[in-house]
Amino acid sequence: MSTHALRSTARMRPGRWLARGVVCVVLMLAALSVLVPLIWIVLTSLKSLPETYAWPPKWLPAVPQWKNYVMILRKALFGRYYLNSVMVAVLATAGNMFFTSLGGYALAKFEFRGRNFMYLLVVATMMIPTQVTIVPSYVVLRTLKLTNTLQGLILPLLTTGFTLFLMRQFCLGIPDDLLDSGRVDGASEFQIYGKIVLPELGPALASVAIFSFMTAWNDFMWPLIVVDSPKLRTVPLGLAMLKSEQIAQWHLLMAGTVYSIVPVLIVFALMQRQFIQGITLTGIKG
Amino acid sequence: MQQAGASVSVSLPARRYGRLKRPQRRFAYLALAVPMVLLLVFYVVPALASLVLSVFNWNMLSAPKFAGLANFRSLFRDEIFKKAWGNTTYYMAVCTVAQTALGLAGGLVLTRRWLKAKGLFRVVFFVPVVLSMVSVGLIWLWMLDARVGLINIALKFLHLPPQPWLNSPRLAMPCMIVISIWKFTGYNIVLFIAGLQGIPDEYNDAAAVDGANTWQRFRHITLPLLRPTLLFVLITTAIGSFQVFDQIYVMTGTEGAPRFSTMVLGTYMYQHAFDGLRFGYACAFAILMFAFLLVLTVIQLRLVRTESLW
Repeated sequence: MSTHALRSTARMRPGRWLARGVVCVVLMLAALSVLVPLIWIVLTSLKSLPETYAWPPKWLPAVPQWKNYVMILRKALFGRYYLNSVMVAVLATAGNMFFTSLGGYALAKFEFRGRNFMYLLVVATMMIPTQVTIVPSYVVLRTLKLTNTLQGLILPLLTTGFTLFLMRQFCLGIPDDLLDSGRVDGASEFQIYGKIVLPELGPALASVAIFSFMTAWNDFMWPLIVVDSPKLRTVPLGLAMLKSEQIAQWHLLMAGTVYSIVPVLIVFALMQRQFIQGITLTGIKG
Repeated sequence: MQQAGASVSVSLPARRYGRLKRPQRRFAYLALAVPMVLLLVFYVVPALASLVLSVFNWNMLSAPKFAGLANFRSLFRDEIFKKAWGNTTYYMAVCTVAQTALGLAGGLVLTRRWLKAKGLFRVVFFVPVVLSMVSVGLIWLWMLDARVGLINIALKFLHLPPQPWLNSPRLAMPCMIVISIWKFTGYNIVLFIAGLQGIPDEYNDAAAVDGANTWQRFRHITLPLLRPTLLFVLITTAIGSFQVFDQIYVMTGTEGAPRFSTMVLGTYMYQHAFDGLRFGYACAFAILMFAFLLVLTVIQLRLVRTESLW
């Protein structure tokens, strides 16, 4: 490319080298600001209590106290918390993907009375802040006698305005000819959805899956309100309770924190390309 | 639109689908039944209920009692409410500006042709985004510990005075803001990278050939084309930060210690609703928050749309 010649490194002013150097340094510092706390908490989780409070500070534990991780399991039902989080997140995500893809398809590709009203409704719900809905939602849940249940945790996550909106935007891009040909071939509407529409929705489904999963896994305020018994706590709730139960036991608390973040980090590490693609997609369509 | 109808068999009318065909309309209604019901039950009805409940007094145990505008009047006299409002607005303003500016800066840096390992940096900055706010709260609670937190250790190492951070009424809220920036900027960076990648290189290159310097290229090409992304980031960051709750609850509790400096609308409302069982009051709260956010969003839309701003 001829334009590269304009900025070939051989002819760069020293000022440009300096600017680039500064940018690189700042970038590295920023990256460290993310990595150092994470490393530090892992180190803390492997120390004994006196070591965490040692002065001058000890960077590494003398002997890694892996038993901290076992103690956490004994002091709190962390295994249970995990199970609850997994169930809620998986079911909420699967449900969300199904309902919003179906609904988004209907909103995008069909004409019927009330369609525009429904679409406006979807957009409107995206504007409503959580605090406005959370108190009455709890009352609704109570009336349905679903407080302190896993269903109560999952239900509000099965459809969100945001994911429905995303799906609809994406479905608009599906060529009508594809759908027509399905109808000509005699397929039922549901078969068209399953065999033609769904395969086209790959990236959007991935986006919705990631969003739903992350929201469900990291959700805190709703489980805080809905859950009473320790056996139904999700991981964020369990962690918060741990903090008030194990006051100043930082080595244990950090072990608990590591427990909380490891699954998410693993999922993220495996799927970071899809994660970032998913966010990018929402930004473009949003 | 539909020329396909002419080439297809007679069983399909040339008109648009869905309007006449009953099985298709039925499918559409069926498909939307569950999502619509869910949205109604958990968003629309609660929103309306909030509006209604705000003029009642209700403690969930007995029947609601009509109270007219009493809740709103009490709110305006409530000193802690005003403090919470101020804190939340302060938090939101700084977070929005900082996270947007840093997100934009990060996005610009990570789209430079000369930079290596861009993908790696992007991933690293995104890591805090995927962590739960509760874990982030605990991580920083430990980092900011007055005695043995890593931050104070570093300060002592540099012969600087250690600070009481979360115990200081002056410093607690700024700490919260920095933590929020730490957590969420990566998200904005990804959005800005996407927005920037949508700007064809030819525009900038052509401008460079015409003699425009970096700042001119940024101002006249990049910024205008980035407007949708900028708007999206500004609005979502503002709305999101205004609703802050998890972080405060975990780190300084619902009392907003020290001395109410970290009391935000989210925690104060939670206190009233679930500790004090004053649902009507809490709903009045929520309505005011909603109104404020609505106005704010409109202002933001207006501001960023104006050509003359740049």
